[in-house]
Amino acid sequence: MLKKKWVPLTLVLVLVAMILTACGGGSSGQKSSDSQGTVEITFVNWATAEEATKQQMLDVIKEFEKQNPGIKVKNVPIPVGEQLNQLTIMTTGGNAPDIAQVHFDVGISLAAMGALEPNDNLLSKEFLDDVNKKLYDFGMYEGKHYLIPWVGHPLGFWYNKKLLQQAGLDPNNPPQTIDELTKAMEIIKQKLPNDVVPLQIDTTIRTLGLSHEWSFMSAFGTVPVDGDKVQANKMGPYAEWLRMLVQKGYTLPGKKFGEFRPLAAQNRLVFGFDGPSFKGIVQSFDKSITDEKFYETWGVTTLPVGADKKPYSAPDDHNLAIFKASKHKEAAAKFAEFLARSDFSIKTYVIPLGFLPTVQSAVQRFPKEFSDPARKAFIEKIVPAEVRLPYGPNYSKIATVVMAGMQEVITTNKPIPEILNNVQTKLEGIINGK
Amino acid sequence: MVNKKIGKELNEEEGKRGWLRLPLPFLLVFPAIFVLSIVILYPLISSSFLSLFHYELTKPNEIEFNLLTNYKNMLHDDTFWLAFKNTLIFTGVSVVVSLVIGLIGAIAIDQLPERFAGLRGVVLVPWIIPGVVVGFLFMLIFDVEVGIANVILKHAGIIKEFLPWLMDEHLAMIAVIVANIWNQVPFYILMFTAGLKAIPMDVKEAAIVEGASRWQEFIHVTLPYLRGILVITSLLMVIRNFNNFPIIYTMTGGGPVFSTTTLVIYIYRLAFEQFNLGYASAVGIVWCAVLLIVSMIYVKMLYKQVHG
Amino acid sequence: MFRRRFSLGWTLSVWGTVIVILGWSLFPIYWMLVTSLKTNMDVFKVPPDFWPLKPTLENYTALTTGISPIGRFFFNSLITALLTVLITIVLATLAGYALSRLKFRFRDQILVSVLVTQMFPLVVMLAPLYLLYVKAHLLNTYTGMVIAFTSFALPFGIWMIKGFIDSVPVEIEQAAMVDGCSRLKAMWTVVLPLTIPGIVATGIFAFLDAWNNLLFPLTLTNDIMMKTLPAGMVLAFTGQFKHDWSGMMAASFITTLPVLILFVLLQRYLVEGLTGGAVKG
Repeated sequence: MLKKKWVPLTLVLVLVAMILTACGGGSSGQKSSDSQGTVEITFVNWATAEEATKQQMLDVIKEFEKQNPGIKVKNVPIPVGEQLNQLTIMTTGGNAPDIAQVHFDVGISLAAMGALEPNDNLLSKEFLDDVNKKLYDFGMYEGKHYLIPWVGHPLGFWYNKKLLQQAGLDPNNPPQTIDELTKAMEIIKQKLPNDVVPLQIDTTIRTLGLSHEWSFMSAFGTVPVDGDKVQANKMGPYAEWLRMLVQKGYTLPGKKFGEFRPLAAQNRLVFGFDGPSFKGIVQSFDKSITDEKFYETWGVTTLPVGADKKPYSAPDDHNLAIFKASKHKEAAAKFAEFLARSDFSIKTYVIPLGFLPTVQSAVQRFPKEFSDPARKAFIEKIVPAEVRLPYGPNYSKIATVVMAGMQEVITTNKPIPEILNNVQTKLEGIINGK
Repeated sequence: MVNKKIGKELNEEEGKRGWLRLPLPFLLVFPAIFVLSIVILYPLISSSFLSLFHYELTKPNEIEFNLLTNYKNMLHDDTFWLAFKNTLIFTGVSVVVSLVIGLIGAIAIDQLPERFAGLRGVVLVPWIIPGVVVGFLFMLIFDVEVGIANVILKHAGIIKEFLPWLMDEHLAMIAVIVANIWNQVPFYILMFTAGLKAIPMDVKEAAIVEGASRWQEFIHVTLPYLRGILVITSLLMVIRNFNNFPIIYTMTGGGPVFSTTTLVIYIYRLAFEQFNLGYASAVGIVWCAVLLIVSMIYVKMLYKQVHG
Repeated sequence: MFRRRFSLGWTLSVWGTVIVILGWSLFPIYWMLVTSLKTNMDVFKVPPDFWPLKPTLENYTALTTGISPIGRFFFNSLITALLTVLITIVLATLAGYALSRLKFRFRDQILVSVLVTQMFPLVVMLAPLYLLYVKAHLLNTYTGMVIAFTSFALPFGIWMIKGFIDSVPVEIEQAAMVDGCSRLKAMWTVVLPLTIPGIVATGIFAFLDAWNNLLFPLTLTNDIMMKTLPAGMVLAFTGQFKHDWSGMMAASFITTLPVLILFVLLQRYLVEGLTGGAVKG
C-alpha cells in the first residue's frame, strides 16, 4: 500500500527541499531592524575588494559602528570594474544597497537611471561648507547633486628617476610636452632592457579606459565628445600617436591601468599615469619598498602638455552615492560624512593610502601628513587640472564606442581616418538619439 | 501489441488510485516539463515579446512598444554581422579540426594493446575541466609577457618576437579556438572510440584476408561504419559551439575590439552590460531561429539513426 | 582470428600519436598546477621554469585569507550541484519511464521538444529569466540556481534514462505484474535496478553541468556570498588582480579538483552512458 504512494511522496520531498533551500538563500533585500532599533545599512564598495585598502576600510567601518551604536554596516565588496553592472542589477533586482562607492561616471549613470537620492538635503551644513566645491559640482545631474566626494584620486604623471638616469636622461626633469615624452620613450627603448615598459596607458574597452585616455586626448587638442559636439573624426594625431606607442613597444596593449602597477613594483615601468594611491599599491606588491625608497625612485607631476600648454588630469576620484530605495538615508548620510570628513577616517584611510582629502579643513587638521612631495604636487598642481568628462546616461555607451575605436587603432592596420569616421557615425547616433 | 495491454492495465490502475484522479503519464512527465517551462519555454515566449519593445533597464521611463525597430536596427548593426561571422568561424574551425584530431586519436588509441586501456580515461580529462578554468588557463598560456606559448614557439623558431596573442584581432581568434579544441577533442575521441569498438570483428578480418591495406581498410570499412557517429557528434558539437560562452568570456571578453565576439557574447553584453533587454532579445530570437534550423537537421539525423 | 602482421613503422606512429595527444591533453593541466605552486615574481620569469624550483603553498593559503570568499563559493557550488543531481535524477527518471513505457497523446512531440530545448542558447533566456526571478524573489537563492541548472541537465537525463528503460525487456515487467505487483511497484523493483548505470550517468552529467556553469550564477546572483566558484572566480580575477597568475591558477585547480575526483571514481558510467545510446545504430 505504502509502496504505491512513492510518486507523490517524492514530489512532496522535492518541493520541501526547494522550499528549504529558498530559506537558506541569500539576502532578499530585507533590511533587518532588531528590537533595540538598530538599523543596518548595506555598503557596496571596492575598497574592501582590494588587498591594498581592505584592512583600513574595515577599521573605519568598525570605528563608525563604535561611535554610532544604533547603526550596523553590512559590507559588500565588489570589483572596481563591476560597479555599474552590479549596482544596476541590484537596483532593478529590488535589492539596491543603501550606499555605494562609485566613480563619477557610474554615479551619474545611476542618477540618470533614477536609482539615487539627491543629497543636498541629507548632508549637514558643516559638511557642505567644508567639501571641495569643484568635486561636489562634478557630481551634478540635471541641477541636483547626487554624489558625495569621499577621497580625491586624480591621475598624475609618475616618473621613475632611477630608470631615467639609467637611460641617460635627467631624472629630475621629466618630459614637459608630449613631443619630449615621445622622444624620451624612444631613448628608453634603445638604452634599457626589453622588459622595461615606457608608458602606462589603459587601452581596455571600459569606462575607466576612456577616463584614463581622456587627458592624453585633451593634450592632443581634441576629445571625442565636447558638450553635444561630436568630433571623433578630428582625433587623427592622437590615434596615430597611440598606434605608434603599441607598434614601437612603448606600452603593453589591452591592459587595464591597474595591471601596470606590479611592473612598477618590479622597477619595470618608466612613466605612469596614475592616482596618488599608486604609491601604496606599489608598496603592497613589494613590502621592501619603504616610503624613503619609493620617493627616491618616483616623482610625480602634471601630464606633459600639447599645443595648448594646459595640463590635464582625469578625475578618478571616489564618491559615495545614497540610493533612492534606501530605508535608512539619514544613517547612510551620516556614514558618508564620517568617511569623508572624520579625523579617524582621514587618519586611518585617506592618509596612509595616499589619497587626497575632499574636505578643505583636512589639510589644516593634518598639515604634516599632507605635505609629502607627491601629495603636495597633487594638491597644488594636479587637482586644479581635473576636468569633467561627458558623464550622463550615455557615458558608458560613448566609452564603449570610443575605446573600441582606439582598440581597433592599436590591434589592426586599418587606415585611421576610416576607423575614426566609423566612431564618429556611431557617436552621432548615440548623442542625437536613435 | 504489448503497449495496448499495458494501457488497459493502466486504466484499471487509475480506478484504484484514490489520491489523485489524474492520468499517470501526466503525473510522471509534468514535473520535468514544468521545470523546463520555467527556464526555457516561458523565457522564450517572453523574449519574443520583449524583442518588440524598446526596453533599456537603465532608462526605465523610456520603455515603449516599437514593432520591428529592433529587427531593422539589426540589419545595419555591424557588430551583429561581425558576431555572426565570428560564430561561424569559431564553430566551423573548432568542429572540423577537433573532428580530424579526434579521429586520428581514436584510431591510435584503439590500436593500443588492452593493458593500456587506462590511457583512454587520461585523454578524456580536458573535457571535464570547467570552461572558466579553461579560459583562465589559456589566458595565461597565451599571455604576451609570461605566456608559455610564446616561449615554446620562439624556441622552436616558429616566431621571432613574442606575439600579443590576445591583443591582435586575428591571433585572438586563433587562441580561443585552440583553447576550445583542447577542451573538446576528448569528447570526439570518446565517441569515435566507441564507434570503432562497434565495428564487427569479422568484417575487419575479411578485409585483412582480402589483402586490403590499412588505408583501404580505413576507407572501405572504418569510415562507413563511423559515418553515423561522425554526423551525430559533429552536429551535436556544432550546436554546443554555437552556444559556447565561458571560454571566450574569460579569455578575451570578446575582444580585442569585437574580433572574438560571438553571438552569445554579444547578446550577453547587450543584456547584462548595456542593459538593452529589448534589442538583446531581438538578436536572441533571430539566433534561435538559426539554431532551430540546425536542430531540425539534427533531430532528423537522430531519428534516422535510431530507426534506420 | 586474423590479425595484421606486426609492422614497426605502424606501431611507432601509433605510439607517437598517442604520446603527442597525451602531452597535449595533460601539459596545460600540469602547467596550471606548476604555476599555482610558484610565487608571482617567479611567474614573471622569462623563460619560465618548467618545474617549481621553490614550490610554495602560499597561493592556496592566500585563497582562504584573501578578499574573495573562495570557501563560500566552494560551498555554494557543492550545495547547488548536489541538489541539481538529486532533482534531475528524480524528474528524469519519472519522465523517462513514462516516455519509454506509456502510450499517451503528444508523447513523441514531447520527446522531440525536450531534445530541442537543448539547442536553445541559454543566453537568450537570460533577460526574461532574470526579470522573472526578480518578480519571484528567486535572485540570490539556491532554489533559483538549482531550477536553472536542473533545466539544463534534464533533457539529456530524460533521453538517457528513456534509452536504458527501452532496453529493459517489457516481459520482465509483465512477469512481475502477473505476480500481482502494481505497475509502479514493478517499475520500482524490476525496472529501476536495471537502469542504475543510466541514472548514475545522468547524475554525473547534472553535477558537471551545475559545477561548470558560468552564465546562470553570473546573472542570477548579485550577492557575492551567493556566487558559485566559476562566477566567483570571474569576479575575483577580472578586477585589479588579473596579473595574479599564481593565485588564479590555485583557484582554478581548486575548482577543477572535485570534478577530477568524480571523474576518476565514476569514469566507467560516464563513458557507458555517453556512448551506449550513440552507437546503437
